[in-house]
Amino acid sequence: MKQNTKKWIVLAMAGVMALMTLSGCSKAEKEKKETAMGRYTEEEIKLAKGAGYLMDLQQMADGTLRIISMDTSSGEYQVYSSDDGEDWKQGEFPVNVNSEELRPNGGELYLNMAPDGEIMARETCYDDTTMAASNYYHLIGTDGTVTDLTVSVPGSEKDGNEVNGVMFSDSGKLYVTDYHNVLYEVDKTTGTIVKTFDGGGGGIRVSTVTGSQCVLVTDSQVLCYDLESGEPEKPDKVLTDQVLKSMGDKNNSYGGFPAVLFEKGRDGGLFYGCADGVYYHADGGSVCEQIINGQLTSLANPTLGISKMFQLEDGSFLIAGLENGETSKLFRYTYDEKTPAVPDKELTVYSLEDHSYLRQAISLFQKAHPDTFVNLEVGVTGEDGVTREDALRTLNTNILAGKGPDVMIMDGMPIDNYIQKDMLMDITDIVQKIKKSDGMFEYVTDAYKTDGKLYAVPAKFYVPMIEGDGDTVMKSAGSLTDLADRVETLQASNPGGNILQSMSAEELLKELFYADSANWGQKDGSISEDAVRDFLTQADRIYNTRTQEETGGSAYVSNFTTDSARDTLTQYIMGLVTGEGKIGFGTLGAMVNFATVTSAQEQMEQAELEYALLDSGNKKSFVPSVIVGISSGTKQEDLAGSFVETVLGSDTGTQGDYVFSANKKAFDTVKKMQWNANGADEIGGIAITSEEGVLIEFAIKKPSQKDMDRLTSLLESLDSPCINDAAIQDPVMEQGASYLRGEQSLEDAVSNIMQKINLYLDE
Amino acid sequence: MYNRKKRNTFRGLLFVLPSMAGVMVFILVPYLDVVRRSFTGAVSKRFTGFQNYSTVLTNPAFHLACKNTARFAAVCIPILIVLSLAIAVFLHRQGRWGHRLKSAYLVPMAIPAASVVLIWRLVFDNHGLLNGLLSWLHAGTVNWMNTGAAFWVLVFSYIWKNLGYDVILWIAGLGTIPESIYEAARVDGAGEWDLFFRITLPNLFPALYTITVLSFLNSFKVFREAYLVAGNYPDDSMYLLQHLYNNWFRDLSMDKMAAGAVLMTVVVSLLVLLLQKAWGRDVE
Repeated sequence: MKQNTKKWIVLAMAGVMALMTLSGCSKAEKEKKETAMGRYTEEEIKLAKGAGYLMDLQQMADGTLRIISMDTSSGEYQVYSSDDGEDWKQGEFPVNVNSEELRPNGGELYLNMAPDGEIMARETCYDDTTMAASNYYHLIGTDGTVTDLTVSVPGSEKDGNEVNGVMFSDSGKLYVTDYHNVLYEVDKTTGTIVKTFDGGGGGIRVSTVTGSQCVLVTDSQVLCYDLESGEPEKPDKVLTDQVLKSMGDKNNSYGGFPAVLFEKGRDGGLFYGCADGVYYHADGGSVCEQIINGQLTSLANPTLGISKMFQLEDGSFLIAGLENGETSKLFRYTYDEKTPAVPDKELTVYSLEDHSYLRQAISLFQKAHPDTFVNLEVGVTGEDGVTREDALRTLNTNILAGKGPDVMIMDGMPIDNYIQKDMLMDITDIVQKIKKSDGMFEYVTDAYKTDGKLYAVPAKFYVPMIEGDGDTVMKSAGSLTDLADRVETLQASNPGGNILQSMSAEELLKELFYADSANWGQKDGSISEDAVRDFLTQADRIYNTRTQEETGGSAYVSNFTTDSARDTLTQYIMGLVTGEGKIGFGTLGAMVNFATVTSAQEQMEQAELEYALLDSGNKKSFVPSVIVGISSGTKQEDLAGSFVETVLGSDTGTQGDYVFSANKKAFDTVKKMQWNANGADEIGGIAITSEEGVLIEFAIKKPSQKDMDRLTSLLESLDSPCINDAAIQDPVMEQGASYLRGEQSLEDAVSNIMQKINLYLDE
Repeated sequence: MYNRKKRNTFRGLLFVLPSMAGVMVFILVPYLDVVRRSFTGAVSKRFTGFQNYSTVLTNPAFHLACKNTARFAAVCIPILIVLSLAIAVFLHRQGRWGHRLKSAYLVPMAIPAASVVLIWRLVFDNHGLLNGLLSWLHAGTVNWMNTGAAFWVLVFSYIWKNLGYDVILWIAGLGTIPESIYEAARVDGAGEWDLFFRITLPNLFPALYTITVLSFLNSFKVFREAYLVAGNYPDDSMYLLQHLYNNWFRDLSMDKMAAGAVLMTVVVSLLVLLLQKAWGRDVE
């Protein structure tokens, strides 16, 4: 009886405990359902009409904001002021800064403003032969007095070190930075250096002045100095760790602006802004709190370079920047307690590698859909040793578990396999819609057309091209055999000289693979052994014309990870300009890089350079990239569809380096638009040393309309994607490189390649 | 009396239940899911009947992998069993010295696969140590990993790794044979070979079954080294079933994988049952 009572007591207690656990769960569930509210929302502030290029933004001593800008069409400088950053009224400079007096040497003029209204005008001139910069300084007082200054930073005479940045402290003191990011306090009356903040002598990545402090980010720490005393504050490990993590390996954001901006908080804490968002670190605090998530704002846009950050009286933030290297932007971030802390919806996008193009699309999509958080999952980050195979297995496991992504970027993935397995949704309607509104390059969109339906569509593409003297291009652009013949002929007539700029066996094979592999497929789906043999034979002939031995084989990296390394033509064209090569070939994927091709023609006028598609056989091939598709398992079909529209849309296509977008409207817009923020044709320049040791100044200009039209017709003639399957490309590269280096015979290499490819295809 | 027996059976079941639950949850239920998947599409999950089996059975890569796996087992297991038995008998006779030497054979098992792979690459690379030696001997070099030689590299790797384990198992078996039987046979004038064939071998028969089954199962583990040395697509001669399953998983071919796995289970189970039956009869 006693035993039975005990049993009942134990059972009752167990029951009570179970009930408590269950009730605890439901409470937790309820809490989970209550959405946390409050988030900084982004609002783009329209700058005054004609403001153009934003040169400086300053919060004045009275709290008003002032902008110095340059009208890109007239080249004139203007000043605008606003109380709250909303309405901008044009003001006047204390003196006429547009007069020749401030630019007696005809150089470029940079204007920076102090909180009290003083302006530092810096004229930068470049030596025609050495390209060395020299600066001339004029300090403009609020009363219009102009004081000429001579500022000389250490090393200016010895190694050409010069000032590259000017800033003022809250108290109006003048500071400059040099090429090494060392910060100097400069006496405004004499121009002499009063204090030096050199970060202890280590490499400085970013240096800036905020409030009464300066912040220097070195390779290993964040150093804060008191500007008055010049004494460093106690190193802050928390701040250092978070800032260095946010910066990664970047020192600069797009357009050469610092990767991080600092702003001193009113309570003594420090804010810092970067592509990840805005963080706050209380003085001596144990965390860096993310107060603005960059992923939900334009900050994550890879083509936005941020240049200035201020916290306003009401706690909101102003961040200025330059988008695409040409459009000035000003954003206000205001805390809205009625907005959910995190967006209601989440769209998962999966890609094996990180693409800047994809980031731009996400940024644009995020802007248009503030209620959606786009979660970009990158399979191979390069930070954790995960290989493509590992990443694909993890992705497959997630898909089978019902946790797959909504949208997939399928570069490096077995696309045909996924289509066969009904893993992808038919997106023909979306593509048709864009075709109707913008027009698209059909050969690109149809690259993976299956049974009349589109499941995967490349958003951009690269094209194999060759540049060399007219005769060479005419005789060698049509087939690999012709190319090898021509290279050998040139070698025979130029014994000992370089025909191609130095290329490793892997690099050569990769470039030729893009041009030739579209011809390898046979009707039954197999790969032609003869085509592979011929490919290796011709590659070997070209490789053997090199005059320098390879210093060390560059390990072949599977093609899907090399998107950024695909735009290779410009690199090989440099050999033409310096005289290190007679032919340059590689892939071209952006209008900005096409400018290098046409500029090389202008530069080497006497050599009569020509460019053409590098094709082979009957196919004119291209390299598809950012291949987008929607997972058939998605529960957010409409949202995923909108995202695909953004990826394939014209807005994404006109960003960054103006990549070759599948979207025709984007392509046409890029052709018409201004490429330089100041409206000039010249979009950049490179100083390179020729074979004889002579410094060559290579100016890169926007291509002429004629060249643009020619490029359009060349691109319109393309018809086939190259083989874009790593399982086929990898053995060709590995065994092919081994053959080119003489480690195995042609037959052995071909046999090994075919054995691996056939095994893959048999599976 | 009857009630007590029933209660004991119930208690016995309670003891078995936890491990049985583990086997059910982690092996039997997932396996039933594999069987289910073998009759459905990879992602669509539509019923496809025997389509997956038909696809797998007509797949040339599956044929090659089955052939190689069977060849590998047929070559490796006899070599391993005979070699390990010979070493075990030798060590057993050495007394204390043999006991110390025994531990040396276990060293390969303690070396991590990544280190083994590094050594294999150093040894079997085109410019590796082995080809260096062959070249020094003017014997001509061999492309070890891209010719039929790759199979023998794999055989060597398997035997090197598992020899010690089998030696230990044989020594354990040898330890169960009473010394008095040997002494009686010696008194009757039996020679060393007679002792081995008429006493040692028959008494080791029960151990042989266990060692064969374990060696067979261990033969599947050689894939790890093969994959790390030669990747997804090694030379045809060393392309095993695990390569195929690994690649099918990467390509999300769950349908083919499931059908292949069911077929493989059937074959392995049949083999084990056959072995069991053969051993049972012989032991009797």
